[in-house]
Amino acid sequence: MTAASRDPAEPDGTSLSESLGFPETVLEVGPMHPGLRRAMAAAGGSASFVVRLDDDRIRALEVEIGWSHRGVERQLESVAWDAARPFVSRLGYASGVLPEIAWCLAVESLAGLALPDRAIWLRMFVGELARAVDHLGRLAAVLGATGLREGEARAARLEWAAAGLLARATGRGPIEGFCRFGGVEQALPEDFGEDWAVGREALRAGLDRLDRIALASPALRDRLTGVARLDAATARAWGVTGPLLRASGVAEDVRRDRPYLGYAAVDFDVPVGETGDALDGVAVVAAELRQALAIAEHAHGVLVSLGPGPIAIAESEAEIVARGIPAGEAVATVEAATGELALLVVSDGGPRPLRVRVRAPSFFHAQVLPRRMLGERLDELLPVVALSHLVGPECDR
Amino acid sequence: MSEADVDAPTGFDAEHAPAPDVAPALALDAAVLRSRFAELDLTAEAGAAGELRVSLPGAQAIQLLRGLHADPGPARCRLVDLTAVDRGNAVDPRFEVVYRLRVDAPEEAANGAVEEAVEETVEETVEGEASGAIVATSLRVHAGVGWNGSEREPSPGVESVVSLWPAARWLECEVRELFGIAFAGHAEPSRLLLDPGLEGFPLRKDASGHEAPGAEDAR
Repeated sequence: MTAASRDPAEPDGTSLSESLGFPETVLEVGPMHPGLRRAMAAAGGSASFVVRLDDDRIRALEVEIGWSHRGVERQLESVAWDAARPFVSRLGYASGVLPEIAWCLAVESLAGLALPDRAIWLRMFVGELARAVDHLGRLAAVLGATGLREGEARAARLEWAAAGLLARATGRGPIEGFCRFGGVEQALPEDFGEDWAVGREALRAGLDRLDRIALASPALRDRLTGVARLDAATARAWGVTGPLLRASGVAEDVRRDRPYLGYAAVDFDVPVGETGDALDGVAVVAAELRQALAIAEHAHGVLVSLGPGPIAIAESEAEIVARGIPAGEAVATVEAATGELALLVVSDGGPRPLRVRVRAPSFFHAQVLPRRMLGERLDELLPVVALSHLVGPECDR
Repeated sequence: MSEADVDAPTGFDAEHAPAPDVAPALALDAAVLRSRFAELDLTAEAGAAGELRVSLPGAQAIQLLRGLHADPGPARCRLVDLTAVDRGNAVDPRFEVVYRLRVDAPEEAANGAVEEAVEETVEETVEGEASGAIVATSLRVHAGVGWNGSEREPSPGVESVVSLWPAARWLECEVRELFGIAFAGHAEPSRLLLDPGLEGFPLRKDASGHEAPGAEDAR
């Protein structure tokens, strides 16, 4: 689309509606319960928007957050150290294990606990599988929001398949707590290797097919090229991280730049986009999805070669907490599915954390949204929101 | 990658050049930071994973942060997170506003020309000072904000950094909303997370956790 055709202003500077004598159109969109519609659900659901329109162009956008604010930080400071995990898991949409990893790493660093090897690779395996589920949900949402129903259905089926694999691996749902201080709760089932081999290949084949019919289709390309472009300098200045920053061409990934767990031992590329438009956003998510499966495969290989062994330190969580979490401050940063998620944990040596701050990537992505949507068509709001890596409970906390 | 930072010095400008007695340092560590900001009352210690923990009085925070935003050399930073900690009534200063900053790598902070210049000075500097020091890749600045409890909000709080890093806009709103710490110069403090009728500051240690809704809601 050319710049001229995107510009809503008439030659004399008045807007189209003004020149025709129409009043400005103001639309209120949302909030909608995340369970109601897929496009809104994976998009984080709980944000609402006030859109000011000139014809069908957005001339101003207000983003309202806070609809699912539950005082998570306050709750984390009000319960015992070992009772806090469920609050942390619920920060993720389908990948609760990723914030959980950050929480455990922070407390382990305060308490000076070292993880057994198997626990490290189990966390990575499950974390990457959870990232794949999250990204598949995101693709389904984008495809749904752009009206590519066949693609949406396929992505949703893959999401379910990946979620099933995750449930099989962990023996629990996505937010039911897989990590514990000093390790993980459960090893992979003994016969999981077969499931993984089959599931992994099915996911890969499914992704190839999804690529052909939807992601590489002219319909999606024509719809999303040049939409909601975010340049690298703006993205950095506004604190954008994760897939959204990488779509703008910035090769930053916590797993590679400041590796935690065993990521330093894994060789992987950081996929980046070129222009930071919505199409780049889709491409980066799709590339990371394949990469998450590859890293999971690597971690699974390491787990197989490690053989049997402890999956957690001998001391139980209750014993660790009874011994006391020493006073101090720790920051643990992980690459969550949405971006850079960091927990600042302050302990005064007491039975509860003195302060837990959640740096939620969604919060920053919601804040920059009005800048990206300026001058775009109203139609593009939903696909762009779906691609903004917004998760309501994480953003609002 | 575009270089859109208007505040960054472009070319050599005698007026805005760093003081001549400051040697061009390669990497940021506690000693470099202390010498860059010698006029400030700050303590800096190396933490885990290349993090430098800096603490200073809240009134001086803006000077440090302005310097870190515009530094041409190794101390150029961008904002990652902004929050606060309430250490309770018994501690003075009671509040800390916490800025988490990432040190931009040289090729991000400047362009190739500066990188070359840095390479030339490598050998001299490494032999000279800063040997064995831990290079900081991120900074955590704790700005102390005292409060005697007589007013609703601590005063003075700290100055807003929105003009340096736009990402601070909502972050400062949130700290104002949850801790009741005001940021001087913050243009439009608005409610982000809480119900408009809620009174009190839920993340303060003396908040009950069962704040009464305002009169509007009770009706």
